[in-house]
Amino acid sequence: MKDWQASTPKSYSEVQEVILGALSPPGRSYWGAVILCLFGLLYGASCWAYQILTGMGVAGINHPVNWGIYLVNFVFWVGIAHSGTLISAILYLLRARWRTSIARAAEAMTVFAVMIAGLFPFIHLGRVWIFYWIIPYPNQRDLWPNFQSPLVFDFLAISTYLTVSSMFWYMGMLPDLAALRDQSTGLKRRIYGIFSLGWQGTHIQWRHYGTAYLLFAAFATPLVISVHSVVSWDFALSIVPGWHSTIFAPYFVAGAIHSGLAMVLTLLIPMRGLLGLQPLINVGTLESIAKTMVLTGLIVGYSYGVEYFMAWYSGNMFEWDTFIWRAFGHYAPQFWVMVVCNVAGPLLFLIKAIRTNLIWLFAVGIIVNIGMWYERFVIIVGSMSHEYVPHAWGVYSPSWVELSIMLGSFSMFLFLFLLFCKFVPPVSVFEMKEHLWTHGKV
Amino acid sequence: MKGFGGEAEIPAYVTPLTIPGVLSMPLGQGHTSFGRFAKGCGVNGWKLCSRGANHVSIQPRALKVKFANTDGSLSQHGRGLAQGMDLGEYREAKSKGQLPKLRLPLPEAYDPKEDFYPPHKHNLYRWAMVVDLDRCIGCGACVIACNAENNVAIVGRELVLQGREMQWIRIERYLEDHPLKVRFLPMLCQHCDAAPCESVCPVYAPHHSAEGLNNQVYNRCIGTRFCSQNCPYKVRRFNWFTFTRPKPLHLQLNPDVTVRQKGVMEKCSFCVQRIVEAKNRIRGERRTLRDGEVIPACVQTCPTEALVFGNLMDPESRVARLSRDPRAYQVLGHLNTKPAVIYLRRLETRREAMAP
Amino acid sequence: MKERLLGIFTSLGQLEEAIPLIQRKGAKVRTVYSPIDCREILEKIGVRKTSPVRFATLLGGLAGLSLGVGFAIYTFLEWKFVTSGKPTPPAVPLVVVGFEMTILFGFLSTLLCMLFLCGLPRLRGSQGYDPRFSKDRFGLLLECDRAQREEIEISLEQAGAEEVRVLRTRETSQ
Repeated sequence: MKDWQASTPKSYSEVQEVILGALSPPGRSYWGAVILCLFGLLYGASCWAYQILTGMGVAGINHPVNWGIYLVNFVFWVGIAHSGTLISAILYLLRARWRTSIARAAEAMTVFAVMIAGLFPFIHLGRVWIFYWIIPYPNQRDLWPNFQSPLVFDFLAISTYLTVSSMFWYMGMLPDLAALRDQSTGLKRRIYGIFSLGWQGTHIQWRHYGTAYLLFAAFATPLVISVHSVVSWDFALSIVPGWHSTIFAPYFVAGAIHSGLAMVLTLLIPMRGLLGLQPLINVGTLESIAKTMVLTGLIVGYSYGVEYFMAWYSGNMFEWDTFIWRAFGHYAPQFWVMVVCNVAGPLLFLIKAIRTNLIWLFAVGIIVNIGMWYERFVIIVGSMSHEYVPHAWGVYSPSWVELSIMLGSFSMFLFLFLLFCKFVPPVSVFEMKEHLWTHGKV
Repeated sequence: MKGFGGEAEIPAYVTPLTIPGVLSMPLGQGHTSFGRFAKGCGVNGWKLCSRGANHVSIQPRALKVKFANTDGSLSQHGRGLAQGMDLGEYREAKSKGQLPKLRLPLPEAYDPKEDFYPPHKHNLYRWAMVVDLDRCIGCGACVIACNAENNVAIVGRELVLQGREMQWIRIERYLEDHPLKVRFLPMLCQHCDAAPCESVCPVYAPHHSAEGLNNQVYNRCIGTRFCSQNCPYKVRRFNWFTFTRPKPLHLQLNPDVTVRQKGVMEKCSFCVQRIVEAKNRIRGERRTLRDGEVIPACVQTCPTEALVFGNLMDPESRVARLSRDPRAYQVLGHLNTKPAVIYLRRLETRREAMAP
Repeated sequence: MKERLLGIFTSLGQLEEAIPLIQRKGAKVRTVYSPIDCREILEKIGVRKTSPVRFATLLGGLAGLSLGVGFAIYTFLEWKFVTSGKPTPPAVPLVVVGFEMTILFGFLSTLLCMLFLCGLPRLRGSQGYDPRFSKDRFGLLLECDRAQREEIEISLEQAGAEEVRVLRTRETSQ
């Protein structure tokens, strides 16, 4: 169905029908996809169980590359999460109109991505059965976690982000769940009734809800910047050459938004087509995402340049050597994939024909996702392989266990997102109706 | 190789460390009657040279073997880890009484221009070690001694090939040019005063003891491996599997030291069990430990006395006196980790041009 | 004798115009039902637009900051481990702890306060609620004397109400 044939809804009920119509009982191909993802998830989980029973040695990590693609995936998923909150919270505060139709799906992407990201620190622990020692709880030895450690900052930041973004997402859905409740019967009505908490849309409820929503968005905004900064400090607060740099916080945040917007494109283009949401998520919205990606891509490219300039300008032989090795050493292919995909890829969006073409949008989204994954790989693995002491240099390649768990994580994300698409309104119904009201159509 | 006694297939390691055209082979491998664990390791060179024969014939094969060595690189790339000093310069510096520039792990050595945080005090002792690179011959006896004393696991060739060797002390060898020579650098935990590994552990598994040791608490470690990331010397070793010792090899274990489970980080502890044992011995005597009473396993075993251990807070101890030698330096000292292991530069004559 | 009337409108604008009409006749607005955010009409009913939820935010944030930083300092003073030569307690790491706890507690207190003030979760349905109010209809539930009921019905229809319902009065509030 081409976009210029679809017309935007002109009444509240039309809006509701388009959106809630997407939740019609799904067909066999949907359930097939869900079951496939479930199998992928279970496969990844069983590989993790194998790793716990046998030891971390089944992963490819070694000395000196102590952190492998588990941490690469961790940073990747946390990065993706940030765009969702950017779209739903920051753009709400900035009153950007194009945000409304994609905010719900973007926030869902955030919640699921943070859930998966939160798993990876557990997966990479050597003795995961005592992970709870990182939680401050009173015990007979009076032992507490080390609040100086960037990993404890991580724990606080990720758990805060998960709580805030999932509650923000859920609260944003209350009026829509009430709409679902009111038009359903039987068991569905009961379930949606419970989840909508009895929302009725009275003026008192809207009064408190409206203020609270603004405050939620105001809380989520600093989280976008701070959570990935805290994750970047896992690396920047260490002594490793190539990591110990003040640029890491803004560099990672820009990279996170860049990769997250690419994932939004990757998810939303199939979603709008399969669920019939073209009238609401129009190409103009996707074009706005593409334009933002040009900006974030340029920031990421600039960061690469500044890193190299500073490494050279500092005169620090260890730092400069690490950066030369990154570009021309063992991981040179990954490095150049990263540079081309992240910087050159989004520059294609400067051409209007490309950024309004759905296939190109989807393709560049995939390219940037791959590039950003490799960026984390090059930063993490590339620096660890080539540190201070030449005797300790070594290379790393992922083992089948690590790749299986990574496949499991992607399966889990897709599994959750597929469930989201069919059981929860994928676009915010009441906000789209408000658009009609404020722009004088009704 | 084929000799009068028999023939054998032996891998050959191509190295610039021998004279060109010379093939050298260590003897003492290829045991057959030392039990099942000694069988099948290496080739018995004596078998080839029996019956008084003194020549063997060599036939190169096309096979390639991966050597399980732990060198990431045989060159220092100008990083100044293993340093040398000209003999003449050293004599001059010694006669002038020049003191080396060190960042000692003592409160006196703290400099507000370099240190963000104030110094911390130690109790009666500040344990330190001096490694004389001039005496070190790279034999590796210290490594064996440490492995035996501290129940360090033998991981096997496959794991060493994957980069998972378990050595708490290792001999790094760096080739230097003009003329070609090798510098051996025994590298062990430096027990830094400002150890980068300590503050990044989320559960306080490594911390600084009151006597200057960097304590690794095996029980507390949950295996995030951040400490190993943050160690610039890369001396921390992770237990990738639970390494078991098949009977009767378990009889070799030292009862004073634990064995570690999978998922736990371990490293040199300056043989803390020997420090504690020495303190226990003098408990009734109302005195402090004298210089030379605590001897870690590596120090005890070194055939050339290249390793010296003692209390840096005692100005008359051997380590304190050697730390005032003009040859003294610290590896990666510029990182200001304030390591407690002080190295003495290898003496090289003027004919050998120095690469620092 | 008080009576309850429910006017059902198809647009928020019409409902907004109806409010002063019925207020002049002496009726009181009890509730407005709306599928979209209807805070523009709050002043007409005599309710403040901003919500006291903000105070919960402030209190929660301050509580989080002091709890986070205070707790972290307490944990440092327990064993006084020296790590990386840093003093106990160190100042710099407390920034991150304080920041995260401020956001977490501020957010949670805002959330709980909002739910409480909205009366959620609500177990029983209310008298005037029509399922269409979550789709595309607006409801105006008002209270008036029995004598004025006819007048007010006419006013509502004049303002554009699609339907006017008379609800059975109950002793208990909605």
